[in-house]
Amino acid sequence: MNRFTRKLLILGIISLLILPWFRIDGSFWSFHWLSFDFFQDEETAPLLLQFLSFERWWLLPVILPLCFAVAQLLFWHKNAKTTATVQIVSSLLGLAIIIVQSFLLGDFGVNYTFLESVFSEDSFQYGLGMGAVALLYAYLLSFSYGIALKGFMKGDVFAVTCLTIIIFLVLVFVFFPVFNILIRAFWDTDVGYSLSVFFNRFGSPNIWSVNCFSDTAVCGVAWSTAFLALMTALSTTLLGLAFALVVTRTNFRFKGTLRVFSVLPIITPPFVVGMALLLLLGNSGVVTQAINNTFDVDLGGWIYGFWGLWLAQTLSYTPIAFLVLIGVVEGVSPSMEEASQTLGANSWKTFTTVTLPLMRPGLANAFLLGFVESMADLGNALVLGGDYQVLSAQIFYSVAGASADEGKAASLAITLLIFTLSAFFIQKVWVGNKSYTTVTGKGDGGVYAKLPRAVSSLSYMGAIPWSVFTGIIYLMVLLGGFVTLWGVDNSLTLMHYIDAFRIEFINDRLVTTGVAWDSFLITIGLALIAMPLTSCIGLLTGYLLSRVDFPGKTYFEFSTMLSFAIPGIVIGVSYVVAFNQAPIDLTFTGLILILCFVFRNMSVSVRASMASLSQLDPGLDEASVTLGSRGFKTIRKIILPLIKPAITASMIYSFIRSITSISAVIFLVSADYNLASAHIIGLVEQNQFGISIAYSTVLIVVMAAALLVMKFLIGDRKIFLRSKKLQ
Amino acid sequence: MKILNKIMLTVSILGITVPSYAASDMDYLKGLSGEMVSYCSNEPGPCAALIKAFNAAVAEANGNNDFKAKFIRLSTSEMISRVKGELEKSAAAAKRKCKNITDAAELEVCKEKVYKSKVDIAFHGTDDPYRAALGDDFFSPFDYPTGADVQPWAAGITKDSDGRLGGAYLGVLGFGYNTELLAKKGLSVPACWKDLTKPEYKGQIVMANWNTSGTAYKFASTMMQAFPGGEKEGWDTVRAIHKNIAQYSKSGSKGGKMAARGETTIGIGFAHDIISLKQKGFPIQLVLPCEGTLFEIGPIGILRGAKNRKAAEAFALFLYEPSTQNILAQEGILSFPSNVNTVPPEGLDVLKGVKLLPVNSYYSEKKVKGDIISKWTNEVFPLPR
Amino acid sequence: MSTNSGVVFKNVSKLFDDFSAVDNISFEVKSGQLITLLGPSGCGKTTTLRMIAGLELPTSGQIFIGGEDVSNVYAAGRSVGMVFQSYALFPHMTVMQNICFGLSDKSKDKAETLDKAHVVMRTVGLKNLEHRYPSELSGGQQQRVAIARSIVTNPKVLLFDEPLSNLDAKLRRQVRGDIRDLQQELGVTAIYVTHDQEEALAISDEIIVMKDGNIDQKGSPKALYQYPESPFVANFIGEANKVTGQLAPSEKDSEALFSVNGKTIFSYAKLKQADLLNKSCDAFIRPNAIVILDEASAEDNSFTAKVLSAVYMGSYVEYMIEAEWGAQLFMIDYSFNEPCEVGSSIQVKIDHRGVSIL
Repeated sequence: MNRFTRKLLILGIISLLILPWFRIDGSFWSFHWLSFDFFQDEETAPLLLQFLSFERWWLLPVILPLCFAVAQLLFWHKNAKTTATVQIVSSLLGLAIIIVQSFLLGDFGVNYTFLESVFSEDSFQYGLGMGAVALLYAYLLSFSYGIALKGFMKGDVFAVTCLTIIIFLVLVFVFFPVFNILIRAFWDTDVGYSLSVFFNRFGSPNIWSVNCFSDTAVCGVAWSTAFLALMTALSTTLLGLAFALVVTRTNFRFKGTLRVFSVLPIITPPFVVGMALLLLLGNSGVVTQAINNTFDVDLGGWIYGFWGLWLAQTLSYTPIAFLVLIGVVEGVSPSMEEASQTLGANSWKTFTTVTLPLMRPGLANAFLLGFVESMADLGNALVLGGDYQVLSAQIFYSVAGASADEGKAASLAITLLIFTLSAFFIQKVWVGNKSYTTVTGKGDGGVYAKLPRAVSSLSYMGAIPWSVFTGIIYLMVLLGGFVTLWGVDNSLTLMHYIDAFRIEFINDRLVTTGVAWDSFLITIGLALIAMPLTSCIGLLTGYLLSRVDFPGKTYFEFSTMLSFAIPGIVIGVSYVVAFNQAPIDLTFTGLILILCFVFRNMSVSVRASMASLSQLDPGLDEASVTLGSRGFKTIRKIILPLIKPAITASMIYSFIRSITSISAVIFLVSADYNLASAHIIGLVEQNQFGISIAYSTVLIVVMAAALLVMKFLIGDRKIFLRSKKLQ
Repeated sequence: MKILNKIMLTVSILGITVPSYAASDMDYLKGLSGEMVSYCSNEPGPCAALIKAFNAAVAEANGNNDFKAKFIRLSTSEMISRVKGELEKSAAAAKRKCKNITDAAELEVCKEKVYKSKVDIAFHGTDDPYRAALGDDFFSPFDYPTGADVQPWAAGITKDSDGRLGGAYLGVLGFGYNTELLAKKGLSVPACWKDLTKPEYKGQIVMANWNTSGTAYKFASTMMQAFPGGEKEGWDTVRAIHKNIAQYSKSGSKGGKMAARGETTIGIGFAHDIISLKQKGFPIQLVLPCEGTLFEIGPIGILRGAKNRKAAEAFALFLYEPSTQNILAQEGILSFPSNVNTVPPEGLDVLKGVKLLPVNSYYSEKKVKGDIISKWTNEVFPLPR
Repeated sequence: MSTNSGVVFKNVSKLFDDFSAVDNISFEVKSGQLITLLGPSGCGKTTTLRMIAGLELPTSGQIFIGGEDVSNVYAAGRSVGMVFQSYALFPHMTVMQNICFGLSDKSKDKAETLDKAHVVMRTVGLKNLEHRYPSELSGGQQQRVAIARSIVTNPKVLLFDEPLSNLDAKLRRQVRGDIRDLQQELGVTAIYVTHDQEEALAISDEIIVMKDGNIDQKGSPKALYQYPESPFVANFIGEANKVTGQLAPSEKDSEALFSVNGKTIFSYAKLKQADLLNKSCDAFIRPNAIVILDEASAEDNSFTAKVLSAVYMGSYVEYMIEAEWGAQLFMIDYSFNEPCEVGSSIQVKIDHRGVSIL
């Protein structure tokens, strides 16, 4: 019996005899179901007892293909070819049976009337549980083993398994819910499913009108959104590049400060940036008032609308561009620049012809991220949007506005998807298939080239004023938490912090009585759980995409982008609709929030690891493989240490995004799993700026601390530049 | 125009009766255990306070701590969207399974059996989204109090909804102006909706976006009904006011807040918000328009298939208790309570003179509502201002 | 290396999308041999090597290592060692860590692992560099680490992918000798990819010449040099001047006379196929088969030529000459004679041992 057979057998036994087949009410990990009578209880009984004691006979076939596959491996194992075929066929059959049976019969009995004669009237089943997950895993494993035996993906069982599992997860947690929702763009209660319904909605002048060019009316929301997104992508990429260059390539004295300032906005809940901007530049903002009084002009509410949105989005997303670009700027091999200089190129020519083109994948990624982020941004759009219409806000209003219309929301979401996906394809074309390998297996020595004066002064001119501006914004945030009532009662107070985070001794026990504690602890906990999962799945996906060839790779890449490109509110609704009942019943759990975090944020880690991997000589992992490394070893020992900045970036980013995401989770939070962002937005709606800013400040501090700890743990990439060695 | 139900409300309905504290013994709290999950669409503070009070009351009535009520706070429209996502499969299954039952009582039993809701009750917020959701059949009938102790408008919403909604409080739509700013700019004092169409207020008014806010739709249905010229005159007024709008805000309470802080001169919003701002010391004055205005009701709805139905029913009754309704005022929500025995919060006397328009449930219908909002979005909003 | 570790290709093809990188090739490498895959870039030699390593799997056909069918076996399960063109040293690991990478990392085997590493470091001549990082090593040292790392796991087959291309000429000669010595010492089956024919001739037991995804010829270095079977091989392995002429029978049975424009320029003794007689055919003449004669001793079959250019290379002189019938010929003179002047007329003859006729 080889390792694989043993694994399969154990999984089979576990899912058949031990784990509860259906979902457990409450937390699985509390193990409260693990009592003596869990075998007898209808809700917690494992598979075998479900059909022995509870007459769920339709569950019997789900295990049979696995028995067959194991038996074949144990007793009839002859040659690799037939083994492979048997494994593939039996596992596909097993998967199909599980999925089909779970869709035939749900919480409310049979889902299709023609089945009423087959199943008894009172037959029903709960959502799938741990037992089902174990069995599904066994089938995916067996399937991967089978196709790897046939030589798929060079016979790399590990890579094949990763791929099938990731595809399966993406299908279940991205495609299934999203398809469920987007199909509603074609649905009308009167007409049913119809193309014309969709085109009526999709072609609405509200979306596509170009009247603003000809008269004073408003342009379609699609155009205004795209324009804003392009501007934001441009400004964030340029500023991000400026920051990255100043930090890595100059002798600027306050690099550390700059780094902090550039990263601050990313660890800030988006509506906080908006609120701070209002405190500064709004109608009654500090600056506006000062200018109005000094020059006796009325600046008015220019901040509401395009300019405010652009400012806030640039403020919020420059750090993302910075995080993407710094890895890339650091990864450009100094020896290439040296080569260029020895060929007689001056620093300007070296920069434009060598350094800049080598950073192309990074620039493209940063631009794409900026574009997509701006498109999907809801927080700023709600706070600062004013009358400037953007798709994300329109979608939000169509789902949770005065006239809830899911069909309209779905067609707007499709419009938004068209833009983000086009951006994705344009980026693919632009980066193309050029080689950007600069970290090779040959030891690379050298010192980074000096920046041309024009570039460095431009970078300074971008980075420094921006940092100062950021600094002022954060000063406002900090002050806001200590002021009793901004603009009305400006006395300083600790009241807001005490209200939020009070700890008291009650009956000699330390009790957290502040209003923020519950949501705070839950948020940090869930974000911490989601963080490594997101990075892990993102890294594996990035590895598969950049290192392994398999058919349909482009589609796979696209599908990992999907959940990121879709507005959070749509994801939120789609999760509620898809995962509220059998076969997948996850609402009102912490797990659904974690899943939402993971699949919404994974594409950032995918892109970060892909950008880094494209600079890593594939020979390194090939060498590792020919030296006999199987499974995870190559990734753990070779790739991980070499792309640490990307890992750091994606870990930090996933943690932070989990904490600060609002729109996706507002439909998924529950009484036991409330999140900080949902709590704060409630406070903001109530105009309790003081306490909400105090809470936000604490979150910012926590995220900053997390950032530092993680940087400390993961460390810097060892590129072994000669200059470092000689110091 | 199909008028389903009309309740003429006169000023006297808001008259302050002498409270008689018929201290209810709250028998219905006895024997509760386990938990109850609720959606609360009030502000976070009052939500927490109400739930806390309920937990304390149950603990006291039973002498133990075996019961725990929880809440999830969402704005009303977000909450209704979420309920829709959660219960649409239940509704479809019920349609299928109960299709052969004609007897009303049996149908109720069948539906209760089929529906599965993880949340037991939704309360407060504003009534339009609740009413719009009645057609989707998410709320379960219950004997909400409709007797003499209950204000007629609260009994009215229960009657309108065939016993599927209760009413906890009432708020009246109006607008507020910043007294300092109005004087500084030398503008006349507005008294009617029509006054807002005057060119002198150009760029001075803030109201909520019709797409985003329940308050804005309350304004919309007021416009449709307040004028003798009916809908046509209403739309004309809307177009004229549009020319004077400085900004459409996302939330309904924003206009009042902006006017209070001097960020705009006039803000359209609910009277209780404006009164509350005035009591906080802001220079704002409430106007109850001369043409008459509409009101909102803070509803209560037990969800179909509630897991903890008994607790949900108890909580619904608990929300009618004067002691419970007082909590709102303590939390700074100055809305008008539905129990006649509850002392209305201070400062609501100004409502005495208000002319309330009749409730016309035609404008609560989902389709009508959708049409009006999309007409505004497509025909009014893009107009130059 | 007592066990069979030969490599066998049976009708192996590899397609990349529509492009056929390797087209139905079959060959066998005997256990303990060093065989070179030689050819210009894009001929499929690297793909072939990568298929042995398992870094590519064949589209069709079978590959055997040590008698075992490994066609669909993952690279990590093949027990091959590979030295990459870029060396692919792990930049974040020291020399010692690089070498130990392929060995067991269980702690109980640690002493054994270190022993093995020290042995191979001695074998390849690396001393006192254990704790250096690759970026702190010279090219030659990096090369040695790469080799040490690949042999420490005791692989059945050792693969070299143009390992010398990053070294300077002098080092190249030394390292290729070292590689050959090492391979002989270990008795390991080795497959070596290069586009440098000199390198191939110097170290191989056998050479497989590849062109456009096919095997053009396989044989020992000597056989390939002396008996090229195709113009391509003749040209690629050692240079050759192509001269078109006629073969005529001679009085001697084993000989034939090669003539251009009716003038016999040499007699050919290696003729195998009689059917070439009396037909137009191509002769491939090695540069060093053209010999300058003293003016005085004009021999049979000699002819005059004009010196077009002469390059003095120290140990030899390279000439470009124009034969009397107008063809330009490249020749190398290893004698100690004074170089001939450009433009002068010289008498040359052709040594038929340096000629192949196809």
